[in-house]
Amino acid sequence: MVLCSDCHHRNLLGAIFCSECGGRLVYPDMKGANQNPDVSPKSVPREIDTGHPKRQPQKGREPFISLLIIHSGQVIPLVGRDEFTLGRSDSTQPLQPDVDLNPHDAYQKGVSRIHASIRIDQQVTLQDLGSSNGTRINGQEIASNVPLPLSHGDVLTLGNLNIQVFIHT
Amino acid sequence: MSTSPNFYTRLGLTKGATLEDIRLAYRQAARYLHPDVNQDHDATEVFMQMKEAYEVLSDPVKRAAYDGSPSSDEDSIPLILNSFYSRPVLTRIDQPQLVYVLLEMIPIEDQISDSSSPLNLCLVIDRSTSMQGERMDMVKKTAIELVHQLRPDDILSIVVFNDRAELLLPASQPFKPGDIESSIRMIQTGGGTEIFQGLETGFLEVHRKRKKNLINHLILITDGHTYGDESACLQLGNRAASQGIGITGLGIGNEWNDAFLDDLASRTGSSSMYVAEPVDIGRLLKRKLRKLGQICIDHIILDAQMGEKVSLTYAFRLEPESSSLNTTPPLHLGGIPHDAKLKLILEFFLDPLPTKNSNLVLADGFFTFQIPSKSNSNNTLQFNLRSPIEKSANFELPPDDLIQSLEQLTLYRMQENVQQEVTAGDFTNATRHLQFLATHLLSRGKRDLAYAIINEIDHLNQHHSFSEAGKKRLKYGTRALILPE
Repeated sequence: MVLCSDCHHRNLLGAIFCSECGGRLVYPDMKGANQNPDVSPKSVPREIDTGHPKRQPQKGREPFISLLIIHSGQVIPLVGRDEFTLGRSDSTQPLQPDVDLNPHDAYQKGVSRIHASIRIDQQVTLQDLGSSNGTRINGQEIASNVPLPLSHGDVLTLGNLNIQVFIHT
Repeated sequence: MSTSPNFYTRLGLTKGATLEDIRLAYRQAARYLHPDVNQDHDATEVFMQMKEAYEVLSDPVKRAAYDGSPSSDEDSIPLILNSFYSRPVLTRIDQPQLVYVLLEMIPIEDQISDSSSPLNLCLVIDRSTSMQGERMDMVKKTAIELVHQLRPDDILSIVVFNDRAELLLPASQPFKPGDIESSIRMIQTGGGTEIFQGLETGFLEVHRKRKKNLINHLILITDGHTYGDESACLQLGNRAASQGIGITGLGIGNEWNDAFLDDLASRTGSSSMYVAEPVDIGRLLKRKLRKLGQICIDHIILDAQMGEKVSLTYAFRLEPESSSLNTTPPLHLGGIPHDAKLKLILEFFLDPLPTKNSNLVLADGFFTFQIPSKSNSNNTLQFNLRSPIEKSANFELPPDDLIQSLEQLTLYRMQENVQQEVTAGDFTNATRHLQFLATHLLSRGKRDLAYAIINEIDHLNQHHSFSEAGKKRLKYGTRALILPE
């Protein structure tokens, strides 16, 4: 089985794109993480509650990012692509965020459906995507639709939801 | 099993191969077929044959002697056949699994005469009432342009039909463009649409002049549903396919049956086209005709037998024309223009694999085809798809080309699934899948198509069906993404 990291659909071993949501299932840096047939879906959760990334970052690779939801202590690793939209999933909307913050009280804390995006390149940047309640980096309000660099340890505030960013290079 | 006497063919190469090509081909084969890694008897035999070929071709002196001997030309095939697997090894697990194979057939320019083959073409034109006005005007204008563009040795016939068919121009050669032009201008619209009438008349005209050195093809131009004679049309499609006659469907507007026209065309190895606006008729028809005129390999048929535990669950032709194929061989694949190639994606579903074998036969089969420019050539090309089995999952990224092709194909397949869900009345899932599809399209910058889908979601929720325009837009829009532009 290959578990889709986007929609959690269970695909057959050997599948390359998810038959449910069309998301890509294999990436150069997976090295069999999700392809291991012995791994049951339960043991590859999307969110893990320890702060240790499973993967050892390698030299010359793109940085490895994880997000700490400060009020709950949960960590969300960002793996498998180079851009992630953050927001809260809503079944009435055609566009779904890559990282759904609903389990972290996103609605109560004023997170927009598509709130912001994090882009991972040589540098890691954050862009507010025109959210209703705005985004702050370390308490500083940022302008919409302008990518700004993020550093290890920065605290993002989406609406009222505080998230600390860890960048392992 | 490859039993070719030609050493180049055994290694999947041609006479022009460099020493590097020869070494690479041999090394790749050895990786899977060497008796140290593969105890399968057939594999060993194939390997020994490749080894024999390699030993001669890798030695410049022996190779020169071999190239001068008659056996090197015996069955030289003007084609290269490549295969790419999504995984180098299969995993031995107690679960079903998938593997994808990309097959590529590339004509070799210098071995096929560049002089293009003459056409034996019939235009079958719907003249029912709904064609009146701009549609028929554009069809007439295009038909007249085509008549003037045909080469002296091309054969043209024209059939017009409503409830009955009329042979406007019998297949003849040479013809006088001026006379044809005036009869095209005289076409009047009126009546209903009975496709079989027109199709049969057109088929008989093409069939009458059919020859192996011609590109035998029929283009059906319609804008309506046909009533009650679909199965007769499909039967005729099978007959055309077996005679090497291709049928292309051109549907104008939104009130025609795309599933039917697609089925009809794909049976013969061709495909259907969707023309939303009459103004596009000319462009699409001329492009199709240009491609037909460039065909250097025609009437390609793939026949294969799947291995034990293996079933073919999806087959799609990516190039030269994108079209989904049926999954029961023989598959009719049409022709290849001389600057293009044939590219197929096959999805194999594997039942849990037996514990003892170290190698799995996915499929053994062959392509048959015609080369219009040389009518007495060897026209069979064998292929064997097999893959080693290992205990642990050895993760390796599939070839880029395969990933990119599958990426586009996934969107088309999502659309196919949604169409099925709508037919089955499962609107909740259809809506969700359309949302996923719209998201992917937006992220790829295909805004127009994405918004068309979002509108279709509303339509689906209000009327519990697709709009005719939206349905075709969705299908032909996602299909168009597959072709490299």
